[in-house]
Amino acid sequence: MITDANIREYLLGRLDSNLELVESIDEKILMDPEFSISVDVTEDEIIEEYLEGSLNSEDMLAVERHFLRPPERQRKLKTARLFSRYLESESRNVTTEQPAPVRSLFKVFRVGWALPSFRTCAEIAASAVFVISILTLSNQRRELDIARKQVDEQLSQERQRSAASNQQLQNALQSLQPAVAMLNLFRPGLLRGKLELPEVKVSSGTKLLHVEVALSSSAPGSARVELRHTGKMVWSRDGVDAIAVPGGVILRLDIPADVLTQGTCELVVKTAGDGAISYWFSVLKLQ
Amino acid sequence: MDPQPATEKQRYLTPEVFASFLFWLSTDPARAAREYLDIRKTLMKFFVRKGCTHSEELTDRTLDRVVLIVHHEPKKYTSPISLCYGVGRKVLLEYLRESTPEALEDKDVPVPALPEEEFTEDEVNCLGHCLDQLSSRDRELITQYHRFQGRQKAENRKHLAQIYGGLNKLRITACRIRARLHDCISSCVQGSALN
Repeated sequence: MITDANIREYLLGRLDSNLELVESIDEKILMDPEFSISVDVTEDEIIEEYLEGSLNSEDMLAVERHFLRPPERQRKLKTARLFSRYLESESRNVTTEQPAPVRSLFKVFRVGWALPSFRTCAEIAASAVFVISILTLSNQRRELDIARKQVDEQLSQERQRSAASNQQLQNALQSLQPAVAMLNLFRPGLLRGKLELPEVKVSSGTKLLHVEVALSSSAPGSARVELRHTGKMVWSRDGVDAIAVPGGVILRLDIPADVLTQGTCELVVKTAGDGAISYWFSVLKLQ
Repeated sequence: MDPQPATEKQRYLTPEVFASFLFWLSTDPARAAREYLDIRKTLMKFFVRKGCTHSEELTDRTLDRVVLIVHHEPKKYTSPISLCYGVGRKVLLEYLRESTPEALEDKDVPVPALPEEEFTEDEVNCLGHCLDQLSSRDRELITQYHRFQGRQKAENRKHLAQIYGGLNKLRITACRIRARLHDCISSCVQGSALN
């Protein structure tokens, strides 16, 4: 059980260092801040009693032999003595007059009251410069912040305007895209070697694919046309008339763009005379 | 009074080792620095309360060892203050053994009575300055608390205890104000001396 009396004995160095009590006080001083403060209180009271001369002779001896050994405690005692002198002077002055606290200090310690020294004036001037610098800096910083906010707002508006313009441009481009794509097919069958398939580009604005097929037959007539993709028929039309043109016969037809699929497509032309002939082409869908 | 040979200390206590100790205290550098200073202050007080005349050196010796221990086995210890307590006690025992012959001689020789010193102008100025730094409530409390002597003092404190929430609270509050005043005066005098 740690009591105030134990703490006092501990501080005066009168407890056997091997005692379990000492160990627990040591530990508590380090681990428990509240306890540490109560030890501080007792320590200050010992100093106070020492200054007043109210300690008994044993305690007085313990203070001088043990308690005041650390220079830190000697400094504490000195501060306490300084403060005690100040209070003595204060209480003496209470009956006569009520001077300002600091001025009374000079009286009690017999230190001359003089005009502020050059150093004091310089310190005040330096403090004023420091305060003004801080205010100026803080003002500049505020202005910078305001300017930065304005620039940020302008940038944000510019970005919005740019996005709107971009959207308008996209719309305009779409409206400029041809609604009808053109495709001419001359050679039937799949091609070998380096020759590529005819390609048609289809954009989102394309509505129709206009196809002209040069038929190998020279006799005009009616034909059935089928559009296939990966072997499956995706669109067909019957009764497409072949038209005679200089040098041969062609078929003209329009295929809705929405049936077109990206990749290789097969256009099958079935006529009464030639049977079914396939024309291959590829579709490239643009974004 | 150097705890370890200089070469050994230099070999191990590098800035990196110390930085790893701070990191062990906290990953936040500002918090680690605060904790380090708190630990240092607590250890200093511990050695002062044990009546050691070299509390600062003993604190440094303890912390040097703790820093190395943590550097070698960072995961073994979780409570900095517990580790410091263990090491601090060992350092204290070594110190007491080292200084035993001196202590025997000193035992009957009291610390020379501190003379009724004359205070310097700086000290007086600093007291005035530091009293001004206190809030008016604290200044009032501390000057009232230390008024009078003997029975009058006891009566005065009873009266103050009623105002400030009980005797124990009053004693602790006054102690804290004194500590602030002492720290303020010490640093003020030190600053004046440097100027």
